[in-house]
Amino acid sequence: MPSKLPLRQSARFPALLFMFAALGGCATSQNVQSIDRLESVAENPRIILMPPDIRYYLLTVGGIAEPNAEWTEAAQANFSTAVQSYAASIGADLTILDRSNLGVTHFEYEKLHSVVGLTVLQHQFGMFKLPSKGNGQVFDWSLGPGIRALGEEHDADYALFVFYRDYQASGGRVALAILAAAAGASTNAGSEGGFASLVDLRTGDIVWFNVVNAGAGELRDANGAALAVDTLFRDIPAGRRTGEPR
Amino acid sequence: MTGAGRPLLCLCALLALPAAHGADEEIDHLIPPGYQPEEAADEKGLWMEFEEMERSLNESALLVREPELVNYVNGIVCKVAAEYCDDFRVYLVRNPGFNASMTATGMMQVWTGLLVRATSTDEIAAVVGHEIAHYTRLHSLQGFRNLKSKMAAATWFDIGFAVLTGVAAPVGQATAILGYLAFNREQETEADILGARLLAEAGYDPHAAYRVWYEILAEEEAAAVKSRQPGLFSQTHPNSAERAEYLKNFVIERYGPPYADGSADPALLEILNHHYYLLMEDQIDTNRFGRTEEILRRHAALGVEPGILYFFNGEMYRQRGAEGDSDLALDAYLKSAEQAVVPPETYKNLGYLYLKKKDRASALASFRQYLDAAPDATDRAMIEFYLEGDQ
Repeated sequence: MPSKLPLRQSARFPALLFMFAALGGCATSQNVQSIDRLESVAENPRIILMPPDIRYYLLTVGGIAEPNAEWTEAAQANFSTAVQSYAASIGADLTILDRSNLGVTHFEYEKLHSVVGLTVLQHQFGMFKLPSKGNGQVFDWSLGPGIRALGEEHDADYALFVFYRDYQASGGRVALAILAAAAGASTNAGSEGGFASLVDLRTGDIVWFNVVNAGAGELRDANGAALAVDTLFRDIPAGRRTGEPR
Repeated sequence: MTGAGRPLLCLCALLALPAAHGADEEIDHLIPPGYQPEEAADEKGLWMEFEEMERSLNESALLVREPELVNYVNGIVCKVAAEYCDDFRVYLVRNPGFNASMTATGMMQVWTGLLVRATSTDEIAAVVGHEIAHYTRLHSLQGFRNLKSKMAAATWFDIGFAVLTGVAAPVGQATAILGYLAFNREQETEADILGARLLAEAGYDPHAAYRVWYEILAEEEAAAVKSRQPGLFSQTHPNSAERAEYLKNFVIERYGPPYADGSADPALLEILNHHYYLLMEDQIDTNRFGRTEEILRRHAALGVEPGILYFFNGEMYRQRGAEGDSDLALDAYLKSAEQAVVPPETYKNLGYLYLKKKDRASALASFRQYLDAAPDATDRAMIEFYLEGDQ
């Protein structure tokens, strides 16, 4: 009678595992942007970082992904710190929102972003290009203009959303992958990847979107997180740099 | 050694499929009230996932927040849970299916479909007891661990098989999945038995534990389109007939034969009468005619306001829309209008049916009755449009 949630959950993970794996083998990032420069009425464009949706898993021998709370918490904390210093370096005024005192709307947009982002992954970068989006040539995705309320609440121009999943292969899983390779079979030995979106808070449009996979960086330690942030936010449009004309 | 040995163990376990637990083997709680996850990484990880899920559920549009309903369900859970009461957060979810679920963290979901199927509070308590037993027996965690270890053993077996023979076939993994499903069925049986005990200890009628399954069988009997078997549910759960049978044996052996009761259940009746629309609307929308009819019959026997029941009978025919159904619907709405308690929508739907039959005078009379009964109706402007068209 009860739904056995762990089974249903774990059935969902492999899809994600393969999604990132399918995008390529080595550390790469692909991005799309529709603006060159952040716009703001303020001195610096004001950006809010939505609570990053980061999750760490242990990929066990049998291919079952086991969520890991300790790794996930460390990764989320390291990531936020790294983003803060990165934002300063590109001349943006970044506010990190604290997950614990956010309302329903924030939470709903966080979920919406995950869904839209995974759709972008599949239909913009993946195999299933859509004719309505110029067969992958037109980048036209939005979270909808309703998000304007969030901009007004935080007095911000842009919101930065992050989705990241890391599947760490256990020792047994790695050994299995080696043996499998010897037998000529292929086995997934872990993967990592994610995407980030910059959303214009006046329109809800995603004005910049970046995907990273394999080897992006190890979020569980501070240096790795800095590296990952660097890769994830490479080519993000910058604000007006000091000394530049308005 | 592990590589060769464990898959065999796994196969043996499958062949020696455990039989249903006998009543002599006492199944008890494994964790104390106020339980927190241990230092194990997998358990903490599961809690993290479930807590995230609970955050989503908290914001769900499908959550029923009606205080009277929430208090009713919470009251049942707390009574059955006894000293475990504080461990649970109960969510009443709009879904016409017959279900309830529990996570390792104590997040419990009860579907509205359970409330419309139960013929007594005791039956709801029976399902609640089953879910609480899943929790105190750590079934989520054990299920996850079981799946992990079976899949691990099986994957080693498959790779070993491939290395030795050059043939890559997921024989071991397929076997492991079957083994896992069997493990799941075993947990269900455990939860059934412990749940029945919790029910009796809380002062509810333990015979409700199997009655609820006989009612599911009766509904299946009444269904126009039968459930497709075998589905995944039937692989992870004992079938309803089997459950009804072993629960009946267990309860009668332990608590004696059922006492002739048949007395009304004022608490459930009140809940149904006050919130019938919210609870039954989704069931009507399933368009499962035979099942809905069976549920309406049960509610009539329970003593639910006939005016409401006739209205829903009308809704059932109106939505099916087969040959002759609009006459049956009209008939049902007319009967509803004769009762002491008449839902305002009875008059509205009468109005629309008369319009279809080109009986304009009757339609307008019904629309006026509707607006009299529900002056603040959200579709007032639409109805007034019909009324004005007459002038």
